[in-house]
Amino acid sequence: MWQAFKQGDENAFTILYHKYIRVLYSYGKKLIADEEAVEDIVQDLFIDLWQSRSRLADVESPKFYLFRALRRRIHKSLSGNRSHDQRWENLDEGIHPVTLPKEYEIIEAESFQKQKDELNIWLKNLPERQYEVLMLRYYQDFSYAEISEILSINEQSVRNLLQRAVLKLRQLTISLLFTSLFLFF
Amino acid sequence: MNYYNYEVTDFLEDDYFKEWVYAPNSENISFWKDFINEYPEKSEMIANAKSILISLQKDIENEFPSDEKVENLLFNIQDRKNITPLIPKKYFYQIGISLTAAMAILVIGWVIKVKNTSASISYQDLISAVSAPLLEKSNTTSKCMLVVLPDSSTVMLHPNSSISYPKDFITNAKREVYLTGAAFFNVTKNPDRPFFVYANELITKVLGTSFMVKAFENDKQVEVAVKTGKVSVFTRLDNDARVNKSNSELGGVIITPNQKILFSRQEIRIKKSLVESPEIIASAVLPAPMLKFQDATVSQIFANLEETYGIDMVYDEELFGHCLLTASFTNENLYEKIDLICKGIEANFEVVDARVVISGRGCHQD
Repeated sequence: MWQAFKQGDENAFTILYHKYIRVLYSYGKKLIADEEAVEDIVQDLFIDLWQSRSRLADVESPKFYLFRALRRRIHKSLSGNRSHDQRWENLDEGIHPVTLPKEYEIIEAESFQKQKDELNIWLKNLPERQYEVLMLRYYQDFSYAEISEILSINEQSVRNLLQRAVLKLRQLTISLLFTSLFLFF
Repeated sequence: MNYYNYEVTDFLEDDYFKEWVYAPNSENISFWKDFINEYPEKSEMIANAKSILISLQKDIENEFPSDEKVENLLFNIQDRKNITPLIPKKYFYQIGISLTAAMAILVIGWVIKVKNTSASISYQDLISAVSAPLLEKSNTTSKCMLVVLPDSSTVMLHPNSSISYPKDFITNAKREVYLTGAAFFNVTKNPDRPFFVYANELITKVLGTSFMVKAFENDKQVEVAVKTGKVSVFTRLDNDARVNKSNSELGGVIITPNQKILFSRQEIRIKKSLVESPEIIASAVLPAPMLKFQDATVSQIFANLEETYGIDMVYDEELFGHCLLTASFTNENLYEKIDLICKGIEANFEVVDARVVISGRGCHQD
């Protein structure tokens, strides 16, 4: 498929497009809320992909190429935008703010309602990079090496981020399990 | 593989585990069921890992663009992707901008001129071949323009586009329009008077639906994309052979919502493109084939056939959907079954492009 695409096969291009547009768009939306900006970036991404097809390396998987390019573009567009922190890349993920205060987390975890939604709320409020790593590794199946290149951080940081994300989610799922047990007995 | 010593993270990393969560099939379902039965102490951990994966999936799919958006984006991409590479980017920096802009236009104009020397059919060729007097609507503005045809079908005419249709459009046996440029059609349903769009070398035949045709004179490709309903598309070469055939017969390439075709004008070839990447079957348990129907609607029966055979059936839901049938199947094959149904609803079927197309007048319940 990749080879056919590189030789200018329109059909292969459309198949690639349909295969990845949804996950790319979804990823873009996570990084910037502005829908129009995501649309623009995604379109440019595919246009550039087509135009530079002959220069692309053989070894790279198209998916990896697309994700890496998407993230770089988004960060480029954000760094041009003053409302976003340009030094974001340099921030330690640990001090990247969690959106919800601690008290809220506890109350949320203890409430019996909306148990299923809660994991989602947590997911949404994971620090951005923890979420990214979680998503890239477990949903998109990228290797640690690939993730480290997509996010421009080293592999060990990828592992650390992932561990922290899972730990948080585990604590939550365990507390959810307990509350549901509590409800039953 | 010893899953017993696995932690949550190990499960999350495990391909076979993920396959079970994201793409369950009878084999992995039974494996994990057995595993949990054997080691109930691991069930909590498994539930844990599973709920993380599922929440992640939900969260990601939540942000998926609508199918319509996917198509619109692709449309824009197709539109722009072949234009710029003709002019090396470096040019822009070397020469004054106004000068380059003029050059770019020249370069594009020249390239198109060269490409266009093959035997292609232009809008002018099309309308000059029509003997009946035509009405023409042209959109020279920069916005889309709405044109309402005499049969109350609507055409959203894009900038730099024109359509023509016969003055006696409403009384002709066929509804025929000629297009140059891009337009979105919303066609009123009338099985007795099929609707045809002639654009460059392509003919689009409509069964009552909405769809987009993009055929600019100088483009290398002609595109037809469907929003609702079904259309069939063929080239003029095909059509000459088919033109005398009965109206109810469909030919060419059939496209359904979210599908589109690209016609390459140089290669004279129609390409149908896939809309979605092949989807995971969420459940391995398919519905059982229906063997007996009592006053079942044709759409129910067809839906069951589509599911059990994994095929696509093309028919007009409004014409046939409400037809009622009572029948029973024994060991007929698919075609025999469809043939039986068609006899019951006075329809014909043919297999086109791996789909079963049903055509006919439909049942009238008055």
